[in-house]
Amino acid sequence: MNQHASLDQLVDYIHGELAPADDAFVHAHLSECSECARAYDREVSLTARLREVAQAQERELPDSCVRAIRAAAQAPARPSLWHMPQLLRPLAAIPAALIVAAVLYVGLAHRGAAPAHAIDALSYVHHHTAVTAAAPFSDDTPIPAVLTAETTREDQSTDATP
Amino acid sequence: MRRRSVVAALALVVAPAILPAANESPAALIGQVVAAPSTVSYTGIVAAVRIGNQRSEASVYRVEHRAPDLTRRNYSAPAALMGDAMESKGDVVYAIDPKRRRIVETQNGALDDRVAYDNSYALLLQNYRLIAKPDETYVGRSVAVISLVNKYTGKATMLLRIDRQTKVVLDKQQFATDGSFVSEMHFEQFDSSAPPESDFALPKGYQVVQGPTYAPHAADPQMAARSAGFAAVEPKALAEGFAPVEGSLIELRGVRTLHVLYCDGIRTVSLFENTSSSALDTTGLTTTSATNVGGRSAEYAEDGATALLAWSDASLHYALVGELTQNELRRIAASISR
Repeated sequence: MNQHASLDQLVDYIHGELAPADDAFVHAHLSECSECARAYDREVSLTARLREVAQAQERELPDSCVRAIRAAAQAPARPSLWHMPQLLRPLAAIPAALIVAAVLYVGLAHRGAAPAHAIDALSYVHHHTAVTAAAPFSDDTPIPAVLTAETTREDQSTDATP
Repeated sequence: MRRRSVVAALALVVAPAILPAANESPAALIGQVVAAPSTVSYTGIVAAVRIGNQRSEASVYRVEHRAPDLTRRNYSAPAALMGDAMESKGDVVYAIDPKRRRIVETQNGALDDRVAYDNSYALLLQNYRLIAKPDETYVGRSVAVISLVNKYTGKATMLLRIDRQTKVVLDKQQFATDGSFVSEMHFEQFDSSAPPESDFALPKGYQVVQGPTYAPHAADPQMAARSAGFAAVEPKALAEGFAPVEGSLIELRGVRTLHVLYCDGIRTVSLFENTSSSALDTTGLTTTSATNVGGRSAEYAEDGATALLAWSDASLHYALVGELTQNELRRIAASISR
């Protein structure tokens, strides 16, 4: 398989949105192409960072504000003049967009700094697990890595971020 | 397949001599347990848990085993695995993912390595005292209870509850050298009737992906080391009772690597050696930390209950992987020198 996975394919693969044939291609390709495997890991890290930034932006509303919102929701409909501030809502999206752009920039800039031929420590672990499966009373892995290759890497990437 | 058929043949020859049931010696019972999968079919619900320092894993699955070598696990927990299945036929393992409509087919030569299996079994009998405890009733069945105590540490390493009728292990608990609980696999339901062969048919219309091939040419460790193409180094000190049971030359992401598996009958540790001078990518592992081995900087990481220690000297890169503590790994690592 000489053809590399495209960035779009990797992103869709992470989210499980590829057609089965493309999904199978990417899965097989990642196991034998260290360049694409690193690109995949970077995308997973980037997704996790974006999620973290989004979570960090979430704030608890003050109780007084929550009470006001509840009261407003229970109150009878206001005249249409009250809907004017909606026109200003797109302005609120600007800081969020700037944050996302900054994270994307940092993530993409980081791509160029990755080591050229890093050894994948997980491949050592997977090989050990597979080979020891044959020993008497071997301890079966409760969660086979092959079934969670996509989800666990994404989850752990979130955990590992300081 | 070969291994299982040989074990099955042994069981047929040995079984009449080691019956009758309740008074058999623990060693004879363990022999029958080892041979049971070749001759006994069953179904059940299994819960499995492995406890790591930073991260633990647990799952629940329905298991169907049809002797001699068909086994299928259908997962119901955790949620990420709901509906997924693992199926093995001899030394071929299929990972079935209905969400992605994908089957990953993996070949594992180790499952067919009779020499390594027999060596591990011999080490188990050599390094562990088998202590029979009073029979119990477990999931409604009469079970023999056997504790496997390490002869060197005097600590119980494993506890087995064995179905008296079928010799299938219904509960297996493993403990670390400090006595802490490491893992458990236990049946919540057990039925000794054979599942129909149709249950093992692979789903149609799925994309089949060739996964990695493990230990394709498993051999004697000395022989594998001699053909490595570089001057491999072996540890001068292992934990007591450990011995090399299998060696092979493998390609890990294009890097020719010597792998030697050491075992004491229950616990295992792998040594990987190659000439790569690349950095170690620990993505996906937890608790990564810097440490040292004999004055050289090293990296320690964990994947659940499995630990990894990696370092390099002037000419080789090394990695030790196993269910040992960091100190145990460091002691082995310190003994790997020219």
